[in-house]
Amino acid sequence: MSITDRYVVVLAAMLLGTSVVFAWTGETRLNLFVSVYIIETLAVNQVFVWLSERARSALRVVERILVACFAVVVITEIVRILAG
Amino acid sequence: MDRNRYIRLGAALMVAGACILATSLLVLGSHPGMSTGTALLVLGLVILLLGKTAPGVTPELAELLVRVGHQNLGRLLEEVGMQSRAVYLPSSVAGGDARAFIPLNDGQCATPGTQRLDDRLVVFCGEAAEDVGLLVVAPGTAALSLLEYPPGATMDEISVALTQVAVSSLRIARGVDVHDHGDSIEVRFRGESVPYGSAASAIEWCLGSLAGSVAAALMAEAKNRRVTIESENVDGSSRTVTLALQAE
Repeated sequence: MSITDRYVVVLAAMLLGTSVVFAWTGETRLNLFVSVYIIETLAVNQVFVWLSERARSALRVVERILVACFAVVVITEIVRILAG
Repeated sequence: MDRNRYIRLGAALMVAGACILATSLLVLGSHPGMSTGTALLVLGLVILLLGKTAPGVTPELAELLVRVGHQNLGRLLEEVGMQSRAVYLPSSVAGGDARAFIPLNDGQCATPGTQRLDDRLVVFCGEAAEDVGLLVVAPGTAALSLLEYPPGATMDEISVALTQVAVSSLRIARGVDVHDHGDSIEVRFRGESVPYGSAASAIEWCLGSLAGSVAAALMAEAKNRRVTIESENVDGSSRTVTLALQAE
């Protein structure tokens, strides 16, 4: 199994395992789902520092997209709080 | 997994995630469904973009090209009668890119001056007629292009760079350990797996094994010094390469 395959397996186990935990605890907030998945993905990306340079450049694109999504979630929450 | 499989899997997961998320959000009102859909969407995006970085060349074509290059260099070395060990040069000495210098006679031109060498195949390294050698691209020197940044000079930085090249990119070993002994450095490749048949004996003798070449080239570039492969020992699936750093 290559290091890229291992990365995919670890990420899939983390995300789907968290999904099971959310279902088990009865969590209902969509913004929390998105935030936790994004943070988990960013954390796993940092752990796999030995991925090849090409793979890391692709992951940087993923990170940018996920951070943009996270920013949207945060802004939405701020607007919701300010609007009362 | 190959490029197409990654792309297909990533696309399938993204479509499935989007469908599950939309259905759960708009029709079913199912929170576990929303959670699973979001997870699949993120996972699919990551796999899809990772798949686009996988090499497009088939393994058969890559192996063929490697064999052709190796056989031609082996024939050239045997024809010229070179039997000396290569000196790995950093890019600052060898015309812009890291190169391996094979002197005509062993020990001769072991330290080919401090001046920049011309980036040509046949290079003179002294005043005498026999002070000549071949400046070639070794597998290790070519592998340096796989690094994002030039390797740092500390042992930790060298260890990370070697792991990145040998374990992650080239997959010729499962792990790398580096031990510093002053002017000699020991590099141990654990779980070595060379992807093609053994290199021509002339190449292996002059340039070292694939793992040895990678270690020597990376060490030369990191330390900005000339490096030779002193010895290589194979013990089961482990290979220990002893590198000698030449005087600055």
